[in-house]
Amino acid sequence: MRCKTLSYPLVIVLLLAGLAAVATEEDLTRDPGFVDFSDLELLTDDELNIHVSVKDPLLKLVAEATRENEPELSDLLAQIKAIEVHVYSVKESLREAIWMEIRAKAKALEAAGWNPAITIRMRRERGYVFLKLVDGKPIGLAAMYIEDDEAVLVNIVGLIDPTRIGRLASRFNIDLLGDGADDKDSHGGESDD
Amino acid sequence: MPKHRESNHRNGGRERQVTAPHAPPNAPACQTADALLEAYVDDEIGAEDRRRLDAHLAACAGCSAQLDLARRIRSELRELEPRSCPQQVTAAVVAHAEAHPSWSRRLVSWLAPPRRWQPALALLLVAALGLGVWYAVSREAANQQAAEVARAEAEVKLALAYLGRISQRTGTAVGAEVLEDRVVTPIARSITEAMLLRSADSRGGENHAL
Repeated sequence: MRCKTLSYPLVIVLLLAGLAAVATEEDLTRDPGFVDFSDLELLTDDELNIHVSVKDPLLKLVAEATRENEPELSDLLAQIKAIEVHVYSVKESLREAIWMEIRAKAKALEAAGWNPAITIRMRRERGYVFLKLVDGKPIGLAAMYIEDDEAVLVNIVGLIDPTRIGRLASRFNIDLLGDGADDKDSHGGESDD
Repeated sequence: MPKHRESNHRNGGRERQVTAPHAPPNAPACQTADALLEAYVDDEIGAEDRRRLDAHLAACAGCSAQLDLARRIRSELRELEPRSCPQQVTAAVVAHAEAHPSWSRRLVSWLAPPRRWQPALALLLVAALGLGVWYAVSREAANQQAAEVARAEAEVKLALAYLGRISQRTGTAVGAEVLEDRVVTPIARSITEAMLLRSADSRGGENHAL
């Protein structure tokens, strides 16, 4: 009887926590800076090599942790709600079809009010970087990029300082960082689009 | 009195096989019988020895009297009531122990708190244990969180590194486009124009000659 009495509040707390988590998840997908890449159907989970998904509570902790040693990174992360990166292997036979899907997605983003910031059109390397502006402030970044045997999708949700991102981005090296976070699902399951 | 016998336990030790040394022809038989009497009373004697001893006891009054004495002592010892330690001895030992307690007892009595403090001290002990458990659990959680934050930091940097690579490629692409538009195409165009002009000139020269 006592156990039952104790278990009711516990169940209610867990239920509320679950609902809060679901609500947070839904809120993020409704954020104007969020991009749903799931319509790129040729990029399947089977070909997914790296999936980075770091979201708000954890991002704030990282911002706090890096405040002393990397103040610029800390300031950037303090304004960001989520970072998603998907890196896929690309088969040669599907390269053109995937590129067509990416182009279609780029048109859809443009139609949805995203501003193309960078367009890359080389023979083997092509891609787009879009910014979403609300009241003149960038609140979302989406990058879709395909090269020889790899496709990269990036979505940063939150208030973005493109200059700061550019400066920080040039400092980090994939080859040095990739080993540490080279998991298929790093914070997996948090948001599979 | 020397006893010359060898023991051999059989049947779980219930029967002791006793073999007395055979008396020399002139040795007194009573000496041999005396060596066997104790085992005889305890019923731990071999069949052959028993037969020989029975024969001797039937003929020897002295040994029969010894046997009766041994049996009487045995039964009287069994009938004695167990004696407890006299009360005055017990009291004296306890008094001495209390007057001169051992070092461990003195240590325990020194450490033991007064009885009225015991509930509070028990509560304090439980609280200290709870605090220790909470500290260990929270420290473990903090370690896990620190590891997760470090991993997230690495992932954020990886995400930025991918953006950096795209930006780097953009620079290359812009460079290529600039080269194409501003250098390669104009040079090609000027070469073509130069060749066209030369061919036109040569055709004009031929016409002029004609």
